[in-house]
Amino acid sequence: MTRRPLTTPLAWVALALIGLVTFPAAASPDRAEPAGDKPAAAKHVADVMVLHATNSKRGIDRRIGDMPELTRPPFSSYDSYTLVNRARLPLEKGAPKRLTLPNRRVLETALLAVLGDGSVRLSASINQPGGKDFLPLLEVKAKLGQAFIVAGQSYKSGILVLVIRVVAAS
Amino acid sequence: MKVTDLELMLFHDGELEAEGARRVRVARLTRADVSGRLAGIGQVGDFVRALAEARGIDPNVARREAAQGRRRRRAFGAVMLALAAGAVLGVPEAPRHAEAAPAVAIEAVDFGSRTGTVFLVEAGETQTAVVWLSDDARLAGEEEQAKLGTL
Repeated sequence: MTRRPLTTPLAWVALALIGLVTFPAAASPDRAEPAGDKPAAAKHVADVMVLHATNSKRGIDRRIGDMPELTRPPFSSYDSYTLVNRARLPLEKGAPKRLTLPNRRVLETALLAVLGDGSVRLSASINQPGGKDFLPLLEVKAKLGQAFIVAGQSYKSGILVLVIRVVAAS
Repeated sequence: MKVTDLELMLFHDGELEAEGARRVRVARLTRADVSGRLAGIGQVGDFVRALAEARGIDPNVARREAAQGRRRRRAFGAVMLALAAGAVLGVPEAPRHAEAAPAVAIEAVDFGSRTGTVFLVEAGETQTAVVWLSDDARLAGEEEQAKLGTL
């Protein structure tokens, strides 16, 4: 029995087709993995402020800006709010972005949909590497510029308060 | 022996019957998960009470109702209380949408093994949605962070 050599044109065409089926990302840049997405593609970003709430009589950090929520119950049970970190996480479908929090947990946000009424639907979760998830899933529909808050993580004699606001990418 | 969240809440509020309270006391001493859950309930309780006092709502009743509802929402953790009108409690089967605060709607939330609450806080002319969860400082790695000094 004789074998047809692999170097025939037909064999090369077959190999190329197999390659396209097996590695579609290589043939289609639009379907690349999230890590390869271009930042410029994001039209929305999640503006995340990480605040540390304590009772240390320092007042509210000026860098936080105007946030009347912090002076109302139950947030007013803490008299000091310090801006620990601020980050802008690009929101793109299928490309979750992560932010490591001061307590080493990881906030992950992802865009689920852009809605017609000027709002977006996004997901957020807070995970503990090597441990229990703090917040396995949160899905929010938010208009641009409107903040929501995730609070309660214990941290250094206080709690962390995450202020998340979806804004248009500049 | 299983100790339910409802029993822990009643115990925390001092309203659990004597035999149940005895079981919880024993479990608290012997099981770290029970003591941790109790600490979390206490933390949420303090937080919610401060809000309830400002709004004239009885937080204990609502917390228990939510805890009972948790059993029907197996995939999701306990949603303890939506104190503000229009606040949304997200569950996978039938998400409800906020009417009073359309700017942000919490459409679904999975608290996992923790207890948490969703409510609205006034922010001038608008309201801000808040998702608040109980935490255990030990789980948050607080002690480890304090040693490392990496804020």
